[in-house]
Amino acid sequence: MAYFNQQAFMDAVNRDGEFLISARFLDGSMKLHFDEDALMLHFREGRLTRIDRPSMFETATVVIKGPAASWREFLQPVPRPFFHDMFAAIVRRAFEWSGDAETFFAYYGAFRRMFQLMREHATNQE
Amino acid sequence: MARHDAAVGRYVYLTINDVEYRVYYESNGTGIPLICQHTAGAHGFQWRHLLEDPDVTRDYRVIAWDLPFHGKSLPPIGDAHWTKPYNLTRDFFLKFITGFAKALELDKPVFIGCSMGGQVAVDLAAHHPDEFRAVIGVEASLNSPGYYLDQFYHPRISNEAKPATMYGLCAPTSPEPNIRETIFGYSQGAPMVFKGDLYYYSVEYDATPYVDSIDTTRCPLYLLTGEYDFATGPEDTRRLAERIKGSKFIEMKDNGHFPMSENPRKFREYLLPILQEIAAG
Repeated sequence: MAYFNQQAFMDAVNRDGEFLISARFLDGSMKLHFDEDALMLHFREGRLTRIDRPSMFETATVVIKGPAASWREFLQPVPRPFFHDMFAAIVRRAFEWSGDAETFFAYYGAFRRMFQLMREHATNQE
Repeated sequence: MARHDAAVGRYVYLTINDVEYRVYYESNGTGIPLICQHTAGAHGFQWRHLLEDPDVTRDYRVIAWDLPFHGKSLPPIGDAHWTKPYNLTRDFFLKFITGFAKALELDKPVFIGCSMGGQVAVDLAAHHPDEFRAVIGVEASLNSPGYYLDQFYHPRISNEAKPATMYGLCAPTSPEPNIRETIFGYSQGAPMVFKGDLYYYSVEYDATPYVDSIDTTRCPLYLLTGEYDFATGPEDTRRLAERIKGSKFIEMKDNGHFPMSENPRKFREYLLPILQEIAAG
């Protein structure tokens, strides 16, 4: 699974001014499902501290699921309409989210910026 | 010599349903009145580029207000508004717009509104067709259910959440400074206002029962929708336009839900020909 360069993405997130402001006090995790694969993003005190593969029963604060085709559209440099933003893509049913609503909405600004940085470090822009 | 914008702000007093409101508005230009309705949870700043556009203000007197409870239009003094939920109703919205036009003695103004303002453009065409020279609905549809959401007014979620979600309503091709200004406006609203406005947008507004009765020979109706608007997409406006004989629909490239503020240069490319057509009668 190589949708994005994980190390470069993590470095970019942790030095991004907008993310660091909007993620202040964030503790928790986000599980991203790419078809059958998954990645777990761990946040501690407003920083992205680790990315790894979750164990089968590991739960997360927020979960986002999408088919590979949706991720490929989402990670395009200029995505087509309704793949340009995760909230937009969820409303338009290209992705599903579950988990803690308070965290998802309170920190949507941080997550939105994080996804923008993921797009900048995407590796599947064929 | 200080540099000023050309728009000038004033307050007017309007009485609606026996309550007096002190309403702020800005205006510039001469000619046909063009009255501008902002989106839910925002205020008149969204029209500032139109207010300063000489190609518009040459033939139009552009007027953009802040609805009561928005921007500089404070809640009314003579009503215990803090004892009841804030919900924008169709009754109030239509009375406000027609009352404002009457108070300023505007002769058959053109109305333009975006989002909830786009929906109310359809309501004006249906219920007050003879009072307007034309109406322009931006990001309008037959209905827009599902957006009267608790996360937009919850004590545990701050006003940061609104601008963050509004960012995704803008096109990725819109200029970043304009997007940031647009969503900044969403952090300025009183906590209850955005959700309360969505009561009209998402609960009360549904043009389905009366849309077929709209007569565009009495009140021409123009519809503009941005390609990246996921709340009211171009396909939603197309469905509306297909129900109204004589309406004119244009899908706007490189724009989202807030075209007048997120990408004003692109927006005017679509709007100016419409304003010229209306002015030509």
